[in-house]
Amino acid sequence: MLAGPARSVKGAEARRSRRRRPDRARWWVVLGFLSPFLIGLAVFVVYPVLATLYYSFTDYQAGSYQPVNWVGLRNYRTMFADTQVFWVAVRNTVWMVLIMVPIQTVWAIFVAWILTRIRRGALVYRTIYFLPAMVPIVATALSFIVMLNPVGPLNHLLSDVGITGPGWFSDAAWSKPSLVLMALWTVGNTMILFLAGMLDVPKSLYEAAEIDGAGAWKQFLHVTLPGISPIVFFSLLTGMIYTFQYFTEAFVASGSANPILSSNESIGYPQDSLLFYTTEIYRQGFQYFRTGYASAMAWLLFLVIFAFTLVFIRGSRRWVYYGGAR
Amino acid sequence: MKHQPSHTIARSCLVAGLALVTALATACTGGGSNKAAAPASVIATDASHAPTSITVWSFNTLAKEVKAFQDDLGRLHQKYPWLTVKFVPGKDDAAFAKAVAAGDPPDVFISTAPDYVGQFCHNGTVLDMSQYLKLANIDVTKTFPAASLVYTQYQGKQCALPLLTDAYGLYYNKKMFAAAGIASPPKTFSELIDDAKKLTVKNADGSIKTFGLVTRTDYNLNANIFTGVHTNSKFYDAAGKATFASDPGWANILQLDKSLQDFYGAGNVQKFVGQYQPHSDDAANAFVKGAAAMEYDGEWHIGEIADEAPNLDYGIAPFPVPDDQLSRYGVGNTQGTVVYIPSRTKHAQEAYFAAQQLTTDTTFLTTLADAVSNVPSTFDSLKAWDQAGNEHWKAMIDILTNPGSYYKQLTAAGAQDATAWGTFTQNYERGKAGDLTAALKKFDQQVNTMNAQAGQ
Repeated sequence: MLAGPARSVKGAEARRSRRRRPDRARWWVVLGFLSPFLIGLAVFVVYPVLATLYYSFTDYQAGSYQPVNWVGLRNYRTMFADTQVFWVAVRNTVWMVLIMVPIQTVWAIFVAWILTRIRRGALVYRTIYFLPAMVPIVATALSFIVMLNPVGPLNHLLSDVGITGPGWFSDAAWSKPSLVLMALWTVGNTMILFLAGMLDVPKSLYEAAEIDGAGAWKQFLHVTLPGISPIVFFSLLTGMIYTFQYFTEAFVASGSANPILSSNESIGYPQDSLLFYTTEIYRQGFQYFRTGYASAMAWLLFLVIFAFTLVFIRGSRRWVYYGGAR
Repeated sequence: MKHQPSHTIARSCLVAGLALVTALATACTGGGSNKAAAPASVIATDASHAPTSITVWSFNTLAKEVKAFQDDLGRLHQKYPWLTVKFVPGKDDAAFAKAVAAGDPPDVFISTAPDYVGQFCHNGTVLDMSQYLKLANIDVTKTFPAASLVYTQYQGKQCALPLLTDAYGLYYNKKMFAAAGIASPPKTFSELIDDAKKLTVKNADGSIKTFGLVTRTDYNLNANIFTGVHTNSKFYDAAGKATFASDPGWANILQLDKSLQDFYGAGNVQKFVGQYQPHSDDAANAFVKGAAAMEYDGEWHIGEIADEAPNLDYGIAPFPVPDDQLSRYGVGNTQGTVVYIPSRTKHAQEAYFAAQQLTTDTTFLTTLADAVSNVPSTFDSLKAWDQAGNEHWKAMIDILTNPGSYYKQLTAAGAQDATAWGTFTQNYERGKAGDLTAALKKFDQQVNTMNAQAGQ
């Protein structure tokens, strides 16, 4: 006969065992219901991601029946040894990250700040500034190509006031600034976030600042900006990630400004000034069919974005103020 | 009926899912050998045959082009009633490569240009049609002009067939030539530079009203001026090594371009390119509008001018050659649409019937040539074509059939070398190439590496 404690241990095990059986059955049921998602994840995400990692170490070409050879780090070495195109793409992409993202963020903050100060018809103005964000990127790019045509409406307006307008998308010196201009038009999404953030800053802080003698600029600098710093951080981070992967606008602008050339020739037009990292990946992968090399480029981009994101998040602790967080 | 416990069903789903993932992963892995099917025999038109359907993909999209294709494939169906052809327009090389990689290629693919013939041939993506042509008693040298065989053969293999051809020439405005006192189009580089300068007209403010000829490499079709044919240069020597540094012809054509740009001024050229680049093929085209007295373009521009400015008094001549190569005057850059048969088609013989029909049927070739303003690609269709006697078309046919005309050599790297050369020439024009000799040597190395990595 078992002693009291021993009996109680055995009883507990039996209870656990009775509980485990229905738990395991339930687990299979849950897994069964999840399986469409898991299969989709495996087939459309996990497998392609792992496949590109494998391909990045091979000379695989889509559509080729040549045996696929393991080439080690050759694709990665080729990138850095590339004397022309790769580094042009890198330089252009970094230019956009360093120039376009901050300008876009400052513009969105400025627009949001203006909108907080409008007393009458605020809703109308908010709608007007947000509307462009609802336009598909391709349509936006095409509209700007028409507006910024060398003999288009904007240059006509400029010539009316005695200014000779530039070639915008057809001049290598102006093509990237033209894309920045286009990006400013579509800051609606970010602007709404800043607007919400600004409206959320407690009025008492402004009142206190006013009593302390702070003017509008000082109030903005010491009250508004700290209040919206998490949104600034979010905007810069997502803007940076998006711009490292900048593709559609450049692809459409290059192709439309130079319709006569084939797509692999028009990528980067004019004069490779709109050749970005992802458009080069596209050309290598889908125009030259160098799947292995394009995969290596894609993985390098992922690692660079990952590293930048980590550094940015760590650095943000110094300047982002989370009001309610400990 | 006995119900299965829910966990058994779930487990079955999971196992099935994993099996699917494994199968897909296996299927999607590249590589493997080329299973080129050998031709069985040529099937007589009256022979009985199980009903067969094949698919033809083409880049063409315009309604009149699609109709010409469908009509021709209808004639093929009349010839072989058991053979049905589905024509799919709007497919490019990237779509084709993806379909091949996915294991589901069309039976015939029509590509806009021969950029990838070398690459697809080297990689076993497409069939060498030599055996089929032999069985069908088609001698390609007696059927197609030699210039079109240059861009459809790779290392002795007939990996594509030409379907209409493109020739490039110098369009010139006869009235402007007469006004400038120039009797005939230039034949040498020196004459070209002199004529371009004479034809250039400036406004009172110093800006340029009419350009003689803009040769900037990224403008319109100018990249084809720099493919070597005009200086008798080839991308590669007999050993397959790049010749950009060793053949002085390359530097010669770049200097021709530079001397014209220096004359106009880079800023003026930029304004011209910016204004007219988007209008290569419409009524605002620089040559049509009289903003340029000469323009380098393909033969389809004849059709565009006929639509947009039927009264324009112009002529077409071969692009000039270096002063010391006057005997070669008449050559030009040639290329064109190509027809492939994917090596893993399940209906290689039937696909060949369609390819042969599309590339050798005189009625179709002349009809399509009219529809798209291209040059027919067989000797028979050139003879039968009612446009052959037209002054403009004759100039293009002469360029195409000149024995010295050619397209750049094909390589396993596909379009990479030509695109890289385009980048180089643009950097040179912007003064970014540095010392030309050293830059060309470096470029040779770049192209050689590119080809080596492609397996050539």
